[in-house]
Amino acid sequence: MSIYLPEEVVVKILSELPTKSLIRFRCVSKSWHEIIGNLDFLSQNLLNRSILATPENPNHHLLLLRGREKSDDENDVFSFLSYETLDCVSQIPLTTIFSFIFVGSCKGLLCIYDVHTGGLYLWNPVTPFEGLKALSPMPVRANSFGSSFVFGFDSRSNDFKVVRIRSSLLQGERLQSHVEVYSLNGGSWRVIDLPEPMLPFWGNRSWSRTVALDGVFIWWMSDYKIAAFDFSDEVLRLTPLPDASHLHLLSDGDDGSIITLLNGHVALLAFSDSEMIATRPLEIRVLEFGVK
Amino acid sequence: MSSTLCCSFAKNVTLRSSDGQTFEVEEAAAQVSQTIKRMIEDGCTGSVIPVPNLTGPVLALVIEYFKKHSPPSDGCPTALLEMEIKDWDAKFVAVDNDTLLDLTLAAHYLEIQGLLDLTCHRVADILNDNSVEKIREIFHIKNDFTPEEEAEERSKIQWAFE
Repeated sequence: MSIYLPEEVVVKILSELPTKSLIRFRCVSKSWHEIIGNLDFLSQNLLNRSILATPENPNHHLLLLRGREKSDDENDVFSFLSYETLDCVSQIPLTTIFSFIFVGSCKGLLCIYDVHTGGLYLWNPVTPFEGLKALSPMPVRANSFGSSFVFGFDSRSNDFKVVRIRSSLLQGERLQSHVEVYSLNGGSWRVIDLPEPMLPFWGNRSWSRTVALDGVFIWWMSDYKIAAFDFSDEVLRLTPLPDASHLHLLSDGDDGSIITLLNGHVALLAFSDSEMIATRPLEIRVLEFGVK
Repeated sequence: MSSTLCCSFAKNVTLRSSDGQTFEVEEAAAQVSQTIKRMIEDGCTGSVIPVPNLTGPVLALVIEYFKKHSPPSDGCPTALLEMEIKDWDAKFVAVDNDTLLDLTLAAHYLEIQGLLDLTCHRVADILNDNSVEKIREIFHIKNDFTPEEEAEERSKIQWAFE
């Protein structure tokens, strides 16, 4: 007896499976291999539901941790954890030595930055880690600093983009801020000068001061304004943080406050000013951005 | 356009399976299937509606589903009723694998969204913890990889087998 299930029914069934089983079932037959390897299937049916997240951006359905299982292990292991239960969904051992940070994740793709070489890579975690796709190198700029970047999807042009903000010191101590936009389809970087210096917080916690949401790069500036740069129309909007006087905010950024995503909104998490660190209240504000 | 006269009593339709068995069911219940609903709207009532993709035993099961899921005559379903239906659904798909796949196909052909969601979910549950070999057996799928191809494919995604 043979039961023929139409492909759309197979797709519907497979899209209910967790990542690890799904990847295993690529070995069932050539047609299943084709369905499960298809990028449309992955992005529409699977990865939208389980958007990968990094420790830097913990608001999606899977957490990605990098670490060693045992302290004497030589190599790191990536572990994908369920955001709800913290169960380990899958693990990928890392076989190359590679110094990198995760820039962010979007629609199942991870953007990785190699801190030693400055290289940027995209990784689809259903493929071997060694199969990273290298992006064109970022433009080199002398005397630049304050760099931080995000990875997101521009739904208008149907394109993945990496957006980076940094500032350069020009002659005469003048500061110039730039936004650099990499388009995956175009394969190249564009540099846009901003009208005034707009430094993001930087340093060890700079990741907690930037976020990407619906094709908008949002960063928290060192003067407590929130800047929002739209990937598609390349328009910049500034929103001052209202009534921040009672919040415990330090100009060096070492105050525990972060900007993050919360239920599809950009949220600011900051401590109210109070003497006892352990008991000080945490204030959460959801930011509403006006349309133009 | 067909006549849509209001009736004071429940109207029945007759469904005929691929092996010639006939079943009488209330028209309102059969309309849980979008395919049958369209056929009724196109004026198939009064005659027998053929369901050529389903055998008698499968059609009999689907009709059980129709009856349970036909819209209640007196307004909205209560929360209690919804819970009872959920319970009934879970038992309804606790069948052997071949019957489950037959029901999945029937839901697809007859466009019964609720039943398709239910069966696909159940199939995914069964698949989840099973080996590749077992999946082939359940789905009656022929392994068309050569042993070398399969070994290579498996080595690429070794982590998924651990």
